[in-house]
Amino acid sequence: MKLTCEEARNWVPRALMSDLAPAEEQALNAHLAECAACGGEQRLYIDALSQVRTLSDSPVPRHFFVYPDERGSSVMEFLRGLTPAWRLASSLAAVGTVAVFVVLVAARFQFRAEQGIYSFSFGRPLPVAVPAKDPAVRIEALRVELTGLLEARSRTERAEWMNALRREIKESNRYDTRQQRQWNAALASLETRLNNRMEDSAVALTAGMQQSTNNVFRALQRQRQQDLALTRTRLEHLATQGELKDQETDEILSTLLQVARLPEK
Amino acid sequence: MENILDSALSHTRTLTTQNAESSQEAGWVAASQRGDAVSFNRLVLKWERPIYNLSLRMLRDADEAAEATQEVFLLAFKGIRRFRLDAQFSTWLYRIAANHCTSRLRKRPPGVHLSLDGSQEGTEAGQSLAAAECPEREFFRQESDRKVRSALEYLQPEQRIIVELKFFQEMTFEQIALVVEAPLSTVKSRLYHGLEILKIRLGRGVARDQASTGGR
Repeated sequence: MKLTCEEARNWVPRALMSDLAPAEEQALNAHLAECAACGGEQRLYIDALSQVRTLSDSPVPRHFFVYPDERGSSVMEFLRGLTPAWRLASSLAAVGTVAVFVVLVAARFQFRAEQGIYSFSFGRPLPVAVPAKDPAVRIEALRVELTGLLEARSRTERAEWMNALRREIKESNRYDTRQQRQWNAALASLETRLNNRMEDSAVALTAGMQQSTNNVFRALQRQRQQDLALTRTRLEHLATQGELKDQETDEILSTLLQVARLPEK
Repeated sequence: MENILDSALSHTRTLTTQNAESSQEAGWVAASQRGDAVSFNRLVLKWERPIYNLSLRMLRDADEAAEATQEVFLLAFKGIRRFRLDAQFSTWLYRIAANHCTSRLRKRPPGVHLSLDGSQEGTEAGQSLAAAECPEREFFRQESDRKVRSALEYLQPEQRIIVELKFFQEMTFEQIALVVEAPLSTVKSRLYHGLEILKIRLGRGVARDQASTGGR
């Protein structure tokens, strides 16, 4: 078998993956021995594969444990969790329900509930409900009689009701008057007590104010007398100091005069 | 002869351990289906690292990846009763993670570009550099990681998830087809398109080397 360069280049990776028949591998080897370019291609593949194969594994950063509550609880999961017997039973029930439904649809099943009467039919449409025939009674006479009865009953009830209402109002008025009197007495008493208390307070306040005004006046008088005495003492002291200073000034002046007269002598 | 016996013995031991782990996991899954959250959290402990790294490589944002991982486990917890015990739990879990991350990527507004080259990775890198025995080697490893993550950014979400499952979760094409619920041919086609992009993005160093050798 003679290979072209294109075929050989296509076969090189297959040979490296042991994906060639022995005869094909032989033909490829023969070609590679003769063709330097294809040999170079093979070396490129070998080098790339050897690099890929040296790629090292990384250590896991943590463990990836799972916990029972992470399993979830969807309907499918629930069904899967059933024992085979229950699973069979639920499947049969589901199939049965679907079958009944299909049969009902196929048989054109109809169902109607009207005025407490249930009716159903397969295929044929349900008969339209027929209104009941008129009874053999005199409706007008019955109506008049019923109206009369109702009016009489209504009159009696209204009279009873009015009487009851009147009684209630009378009772209520009586009660109100009694209550009102009591309230008025209580209010008057409260007013009197409040007035008395206010007058007492006013008197006490006036007395207190006079007392405090007198106290303040007395205190001011005392303070004024003390201030006057102090001022007088100070003035006397200043006058004394002034006299002393005058004496000193006179002495100094006389001394100066004596000094000034000395050359004349 | 002794070597053959040793290797056979070790292979048998490995198979026995795998069977024991698988039956233990099946027990946890069955208990989780009966509503036992503790058993489910044992499954979380077992699978959180690959799922977180898948989310991280798909979404390229540490916070978003953590959030997506939590949501993936929550979705799995909610839907574990639907899981059929004859299937592989890992395939089912990866399917949830793949769909969730792809959906998140599609919901991102156009132009949003998240990168781990920022502060988060910087901090992480700084810490691991300080802790590493050989800081230079650690630095180059981180640089290479950064480059690969950037190259993965250029893949479509559908291509990226297949590259992720093929190279980082080491799944077969059939397993990937089960996870992404796509035909085998679609899976292969997306993978080869993704590889071509990765070759273009990551094979430049070799191309430069070749050019420099040719120039001499």
